[in-house]
Amino acid sequence: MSVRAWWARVRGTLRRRDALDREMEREMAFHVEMATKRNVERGMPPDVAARQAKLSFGSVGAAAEAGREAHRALIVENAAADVRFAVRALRRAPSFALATLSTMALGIGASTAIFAVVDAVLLRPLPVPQPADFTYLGWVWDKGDAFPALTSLQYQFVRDHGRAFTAVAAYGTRDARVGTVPNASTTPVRGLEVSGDFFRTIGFTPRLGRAFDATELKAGDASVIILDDAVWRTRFGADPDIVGQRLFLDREARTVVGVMPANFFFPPAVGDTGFLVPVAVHVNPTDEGHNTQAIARLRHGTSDFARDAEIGALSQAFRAAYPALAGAHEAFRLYTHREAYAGGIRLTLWVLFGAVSLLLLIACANTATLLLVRASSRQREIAVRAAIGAGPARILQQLLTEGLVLAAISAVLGAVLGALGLRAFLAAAPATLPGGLAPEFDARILVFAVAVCVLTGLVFGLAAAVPSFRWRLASGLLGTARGTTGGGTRTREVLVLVETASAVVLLAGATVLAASFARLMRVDPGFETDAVIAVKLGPLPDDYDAARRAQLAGRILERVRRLPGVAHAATAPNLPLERGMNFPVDTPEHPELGLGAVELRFVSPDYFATLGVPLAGRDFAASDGAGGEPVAIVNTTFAKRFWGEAPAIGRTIQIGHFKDRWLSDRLEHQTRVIGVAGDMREIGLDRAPRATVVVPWTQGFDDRQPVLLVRGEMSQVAKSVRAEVLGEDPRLIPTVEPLTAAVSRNVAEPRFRALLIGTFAASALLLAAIGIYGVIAAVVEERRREIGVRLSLGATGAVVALGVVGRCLLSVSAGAAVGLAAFWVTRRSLASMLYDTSPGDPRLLAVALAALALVAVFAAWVPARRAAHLDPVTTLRLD
Amino acid sequence: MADDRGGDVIKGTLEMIVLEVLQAEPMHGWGITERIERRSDGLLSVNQGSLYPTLYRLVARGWVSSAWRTTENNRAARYYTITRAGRKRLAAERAQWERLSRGVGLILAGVRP
Repeated sequence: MSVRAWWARVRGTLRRRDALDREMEREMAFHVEMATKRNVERGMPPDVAARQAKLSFGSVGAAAEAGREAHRALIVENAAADVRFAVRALRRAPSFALATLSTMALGIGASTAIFAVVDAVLLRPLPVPQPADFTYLGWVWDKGDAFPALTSLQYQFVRDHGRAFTAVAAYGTRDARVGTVPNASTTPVRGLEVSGDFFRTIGFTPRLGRAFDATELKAGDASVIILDDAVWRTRFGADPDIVGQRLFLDREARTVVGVMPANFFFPPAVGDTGFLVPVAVHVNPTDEGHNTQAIARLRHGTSDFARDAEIGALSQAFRAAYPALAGAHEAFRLYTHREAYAGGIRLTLWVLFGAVSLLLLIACANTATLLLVRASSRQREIAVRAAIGAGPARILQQLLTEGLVLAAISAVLGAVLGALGLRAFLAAAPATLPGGLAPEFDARILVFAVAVCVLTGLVFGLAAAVPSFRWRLASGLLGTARGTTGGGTRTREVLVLVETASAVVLLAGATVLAASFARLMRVDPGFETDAVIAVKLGPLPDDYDAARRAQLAGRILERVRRLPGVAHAATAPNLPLERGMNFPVDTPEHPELGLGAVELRFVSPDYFATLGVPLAGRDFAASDGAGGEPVAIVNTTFAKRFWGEAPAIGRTIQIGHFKDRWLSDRLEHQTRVIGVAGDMREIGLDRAPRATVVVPWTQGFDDRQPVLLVRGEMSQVAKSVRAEVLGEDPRLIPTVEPLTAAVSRNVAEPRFRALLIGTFAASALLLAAIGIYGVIAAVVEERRREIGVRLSLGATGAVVALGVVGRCLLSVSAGAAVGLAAFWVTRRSLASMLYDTSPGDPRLLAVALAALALVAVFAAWVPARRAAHLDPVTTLRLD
Repeated sequence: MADDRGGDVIKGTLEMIVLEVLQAEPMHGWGITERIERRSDGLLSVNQGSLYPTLYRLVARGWVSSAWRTTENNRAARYYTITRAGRKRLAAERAQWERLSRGVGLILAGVRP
């Protein structure tokens, strides 16, 4: 509530109090006047009469105060008594209180946590000024594939000709050490390399100092730097005179020209962006790699139609200017931030959102069920209170207070659960949440969820209470209401149906996802992970020149191979399952079969032995050096594609040749195949192996720092390998991990999905059990007398129990049917998340139904058993 | 809920008496004082300092409602009217009072069964 609204309410209360006072005074003046009049009639002189009347009345002020007091005390007293009564009543019904509180807290907690993530990633606008005008630029290829980045030429073209934009910029990231001395021994910070009209595009300007000017941006001036607010605070003590000072970015001396504001946010950086430096985009028309990340600001107020038309015209102009570089259907495309960065996790989040909405629905239905059950068990109490003079309003007020007490407690519990849940979610989530969109635990979201629960509670609590003093006043007291099926029964059955249906949808989804995950974990990746450790050398100190860099991995490899316990060791450009390099490859005899994107790896000898991949032919040897004959090993998929079942060894391939054209003169040579290796699932456990060509690293042209793979005694090797790396250069910061960790990263998202939806499904099952239990327990309670009569007339316990459970299990079955139908309709939304699993697999749905049936029967069995064991004598004597 | 039965006997009695007076017709505070005095042959006179708090309490509990009206002399006065809940309450109080006064009467009369 705003301060203004709050004040208005306070003033309203005061005014009402004033009005009350004035009325009292008027009333008492009237009284005194009448008394005076009577005294005059009895013969007193007017002045004496008035004095006498006033005297007999006593102090008007005191009487008014006493009246006010009586008025005020009653309201406060009632409210306080209601709260006390509610707490006492809840303590007297601990199972009801526990069930309701846990239901509401679970619903509130889970939904607020997931809503917070969905809100941050999918709903909240990007925190840049005027986010609607901010856009990423990408490219669409002929076949409809698209990617949110441009070639340097395309970027230049947009910058020069894009009339739809007021500003265009490019950016990249760079990790570097920031310090007051060259190569400061601090952890590297991620920063942004910016070019073009960056500051106008992003919409932020430095809080201190200035932005880079056009000359600096154009030239990629290496003598200036702008610091991020966080780095300025943590590393430079928020020094207000920082602008103009000199500091070092790795070895480069740079002058600080500005500090960005604290709310500066640039999306792609995961974590903090520590600094900004200008960099020039070198336009190379022959470079067709989409490696320039471009952003732009649209002219404000452009309609979607006009914008699309201008992008279309721009694409056409590009195709006309460079017909060799763009096919007839290729075009520029605008990307929103979410399309560009949240791609993978969007679907997961929507599915989670759906799941958690179902959970909230179940929680509400459950709360309603519990309140209805409670109201019906309190008929007699309410009837008694109505009979001794409590008005309907008074009883409602009491029931309402009880609902609010429940809501208040569960809101607190729910908020705690939600905050913990969000933290657990962020800890468990795979690192695919787009950077900078960190979800926050938001009070608005909490208010929403609490409001939903409270409203449910109130609506159903009141709905249950109203009939109880219309017709149960008499019958409730007489006890004849027992055998009847009250108005609440139908509602309860519908609620059980809703709960069961939602639980079935969640259970079916969870079963299917879990089955898919289990299948994924059983996939043979084609390489062994168990006894292999992976070593990354980390960023190199930058006194390493190209020659030294090239030697580093080889020298470490030699050291590692000599270690005891090491069976094999090799270098590779990247770990299996991490993104590698693609290259066009074909063969002289079948250029038409050429592939534009063959996986290309540059590895050391012993690579296949290290990973336990079967190899036919010979392995690379030390003699396959830079000057030797170009050789390669291909995988089975590649061999099958080009030569079918015919032997592949000895054949010739052309790396870098595609559509009768060599990518570069340097590559223009034939390469002989010396071996065929087994297929590896390198781009994802869930993706079929791709055609792969492996080349000795000494003949390669990849200047990235390779990783080391070591096979041997894990426990012994991990430590000694690290020691060897540091022995080579103590400034290195190596990461050593088992290869299994890389595999488990690769399945992090399916595991996360299965785990989370599994948790929701388990919660749903628990809530449904509570609901079913509550309903049947209430039925037993209501029909206690009837059951007693039937038992005393000779009915067996089993028959009675069946009679009690029957109707409820009927609602459960109907709910299961509705839930299955709902899942069937929406099952397609899961399809793209599944590996080798059909979302409509009847065996899996049967598992889900069986789980529900088991829980439902158990939840029903407990109160039914109580019914069967009722002592008829006690029951009948009860009244 | 708050219920001060068994507390101040005088106060409890006054509530009952006021309800009884109002059962005949809606009346303002002054009129209630007059009627109590007249109907009790002057034996009872009401202290205004406790009459008005009692009236407000009855209103707050919903046994009596109040509204401003004009008297026969064309004066504005607040009239109190008994509600349905008030009639119920009066019946309950009356029954209790009759039991109490019969009991007290029997004891004071010295009759032994």
